[in-house]
Amino acid sequence: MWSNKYRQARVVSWTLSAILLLSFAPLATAQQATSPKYQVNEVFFGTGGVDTCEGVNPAENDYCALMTAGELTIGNTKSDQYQAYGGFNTTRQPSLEVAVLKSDVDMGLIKPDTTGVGTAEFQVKAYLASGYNIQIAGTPPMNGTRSVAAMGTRGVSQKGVEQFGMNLTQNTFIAGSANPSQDPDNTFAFGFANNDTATGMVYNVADEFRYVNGDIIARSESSTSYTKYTISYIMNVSSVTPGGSYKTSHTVVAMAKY
Amino acid sequence: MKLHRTLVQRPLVALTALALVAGSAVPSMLLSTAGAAGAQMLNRQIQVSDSSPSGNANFTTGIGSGTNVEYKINFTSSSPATIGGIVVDICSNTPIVGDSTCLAPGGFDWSATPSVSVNGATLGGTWTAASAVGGGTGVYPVLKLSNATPVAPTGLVTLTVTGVTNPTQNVAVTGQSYYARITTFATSADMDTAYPATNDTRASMATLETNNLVDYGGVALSTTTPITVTAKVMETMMLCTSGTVMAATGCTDASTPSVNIGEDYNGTKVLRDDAISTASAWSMISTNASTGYGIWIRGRNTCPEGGMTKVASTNVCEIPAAHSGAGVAGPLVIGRTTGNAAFGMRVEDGAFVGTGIGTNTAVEKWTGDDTINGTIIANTSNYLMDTTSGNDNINYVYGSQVVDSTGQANSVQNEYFFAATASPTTPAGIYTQTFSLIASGRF
Repeated sequence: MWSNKYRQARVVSWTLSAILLLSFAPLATAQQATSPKYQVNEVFFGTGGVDTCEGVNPAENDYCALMTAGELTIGNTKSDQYQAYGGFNTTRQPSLEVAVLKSDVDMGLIKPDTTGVGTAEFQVKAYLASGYNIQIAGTPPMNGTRSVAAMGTRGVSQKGVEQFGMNLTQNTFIAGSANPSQDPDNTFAFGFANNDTATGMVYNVADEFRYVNGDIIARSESSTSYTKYTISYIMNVSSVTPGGSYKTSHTVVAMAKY
Repeated sequence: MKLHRTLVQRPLVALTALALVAGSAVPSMLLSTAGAAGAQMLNRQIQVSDSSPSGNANFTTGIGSGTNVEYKINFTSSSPATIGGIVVDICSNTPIVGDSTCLAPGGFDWSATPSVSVNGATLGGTWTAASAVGGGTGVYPVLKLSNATPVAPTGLVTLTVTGVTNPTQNVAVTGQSYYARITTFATSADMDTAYPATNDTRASMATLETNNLVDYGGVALSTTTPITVTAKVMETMMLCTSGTVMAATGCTDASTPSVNIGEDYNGTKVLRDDAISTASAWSMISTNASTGYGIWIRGRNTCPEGGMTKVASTNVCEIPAAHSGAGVAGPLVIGRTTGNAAFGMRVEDGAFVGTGIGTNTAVEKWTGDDTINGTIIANTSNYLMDTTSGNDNINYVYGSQVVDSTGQANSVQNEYFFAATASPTTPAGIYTQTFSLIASGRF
């Protein structure tokens, strides 16, 4: 009996402490979403909830909990000037996640009467951002100081003409090529292959390829869940392309906009 | 049981009441607090020249190495106030300014002496860059810029930092997020108080405010595994010969390189002692040899005269090489005049056919050109059949070089002009000489 009362008293005390944390915690995190016109903070209108995760270091085997006793609204709402995520169990930390899922592209032996092809894959997710741009960085494949001619203007693959290009769409002759895919679906993820005709940075046309170091090849105009992109590479050689092994390293550089 | 229920129920009621109070009271408190904390920067973005993690054994320099990376940091101040200190602090766990925890990403380094340029159009004055240790010995994740005379930004501020080392790869994941906290201060002294050089603990928002924090903002970044693209191209060489001139690329219209030399006589060709007869053969070459190629000619007949023979086994060439096989071209003279039969050749520069590529140059002695007072003058009447020049004659094991190029070729054609004359005493018969053309590329 005594032990039961003691346990219950501890439960009560813990809950009250959590409430105090609720009221004070936002003050320690004064950095909230703002725009030139107004500011939205992590306020909660509902029947209750607890955030015990502030200051907890998972690396030290601490534990914490996010609990809610009912939310009036959840999900993302936005306009041109602002955005907010409703719900108690949101995080105030912006994030940008980029992962290369398939990084080795071997286009094999290429002759003037063949086309070398290959694919790479990467995925991107951005939270609490106004979108992102993905740049491709790196040279065309090189053999010593000799590089394969890059397709500076979008065009089709031509056997016998020295070319190196890429796109981010499904092609008719490249196995494994694919359009960007949204995870879990296109109501949560919004990334797309760049289609900026004004600058020529167009990477969403099937069977047409381009490569310019530093081009923006993909983007999103808002926070987004995972979008998986498949890069399709092509390489053609002419009869005078020097023999040897050609190699390059590309990185996909993500820039989130805040 | 009853007591238990009462004790459990009561806190829920209290919880609800307190939550409502907190919910209604907090906004006004937060608004006032936010005003004193400075304003959040707008248009925050960091562009990097390479997102590869450092420490990659396959790439130690350039794209893929994550070293010597350039960071371009953009932001727009929300406050019109002047600033004398700017901090860009890199953390692996959170971009939230004011959070006391900031773990330095392993391997990230602005360098002990960072190189920073500031676009003077929107942020004037003289800015001095320094870095502070923030995560352990030898690691400098805190970039600090100071200006003794505070200035007010007038637009998008751009800081370009070179020579940066990206975080190393966490091998458990294929990508890795990390963060930048950007803060500005009224003076560099304020900045140094808030970010002392040797204190690893990041200042709370209260401390930043006390030290005249002006603007703040966070940015998320990510490293990624580099994509490696490889391909192989074979070295190529193709040389063909033809008895007729070729018009198509790739030797597709080459004919049997059998050349009949002589004057027409009743439907056949015969050499005469009162005429110089000519005939041609052609070669076409295609190669991707990166630094060029050469073509050599070697004769089959082993006779010392080096010309055409009626019976090869006799090792006698009754129609000998022109000019006794000397390595200098000269005009062929009809045999009736000289009393000697002669056989010679000359070569012209090559050019591509159709959609081919490239040219080549005939070796000077085989062109037949005259050199008069140091000036080369073309002369299509001169021929030679070099059998004497050391290591460069048609009987040498590798033959005599007739053509050279420093570049690649696609369907480059050369014409070989043969000339012969009989003497009054040249025995009747069928005379032959066979040549092998040898191409060698410099890859």
